Amino acid sequence: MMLGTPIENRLRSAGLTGPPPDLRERVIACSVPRLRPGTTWAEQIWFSGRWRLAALALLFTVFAFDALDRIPLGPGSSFADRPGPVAMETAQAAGEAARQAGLPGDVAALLERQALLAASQPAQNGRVSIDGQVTLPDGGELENR
Amino acid sequence: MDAQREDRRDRELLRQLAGGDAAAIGSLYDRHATALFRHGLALSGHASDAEDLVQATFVKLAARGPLLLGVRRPASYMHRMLHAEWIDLARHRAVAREESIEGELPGVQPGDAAEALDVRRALAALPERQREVVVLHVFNGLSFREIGRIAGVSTFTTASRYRLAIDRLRLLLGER
Repeated sequence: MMLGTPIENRLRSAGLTGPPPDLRERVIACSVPRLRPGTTWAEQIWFSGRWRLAALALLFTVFAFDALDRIPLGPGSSFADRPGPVAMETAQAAGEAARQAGLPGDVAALLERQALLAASQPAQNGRVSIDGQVTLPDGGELENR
Repeated sequence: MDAQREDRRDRELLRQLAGGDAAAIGSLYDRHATALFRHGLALSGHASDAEDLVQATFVKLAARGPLLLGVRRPASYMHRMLHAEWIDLARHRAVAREESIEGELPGVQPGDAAEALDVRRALAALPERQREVVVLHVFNGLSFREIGRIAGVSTFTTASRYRLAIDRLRLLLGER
């Protein structure tokens, strides 16, 4: 159903002629020799809109994951090296001990910060247990006498 | 919904054509030749030129091969090809586009009713670009957006051309 203004309806009712009947044969006769024999599977994939969309989506996903891993949480930190609760407790204990030992507040805060950094990277820096046992990065242990 | 179904059917035919199926040309011709012929008539103003444009469009379509696999709107794609063919034809003949409409009335045949003759004369008096928009919109049912894509202009320009054309047709047909 075509609706429109009176002038549009008037145009439609006047109509336009179509192509002459013999044009079909001429078109087919001219076009068939130009047909390509067929498409390879590689061409079908390369020229397929769906394949291109899928490739684009995959690329976007890879970049999105990569970018997610690099989002900073604060100065010099990322998802990968965010301190865990144990590291936080250790650092707070170190800061408290420094204050009780009579060190100035800013020095105690600096020590606390250093302790936090050290506790956040145990695999690279080794680990010190409460009873004084030191674990080296290669897995060996030292006794603190 | 119907338009989507038509597009899907056309894409399937283009896929067959890309695969070398000669029968697909006949099917595509049956579905689109009339609309393409009218478009050619609107651009050139001559039935013989319109026939040449339709023929050249199908010949190029057949030669496209795997490129046809990426076509999303086949009808629009074929109209764009015809439009490009017309630009080439006009350039080769060094015919000024606005002058080319004077020679022949579009689609007039002996025995046409007086009203139809009047309307076609009025159409023939329009500038080519305005006539193209009117024919594609009124006779072929394309939206201004689609016509803009075919002619390589914005939707706003297309709508503006259409409004000017309708105003002029009203004047020519004594509607005001």
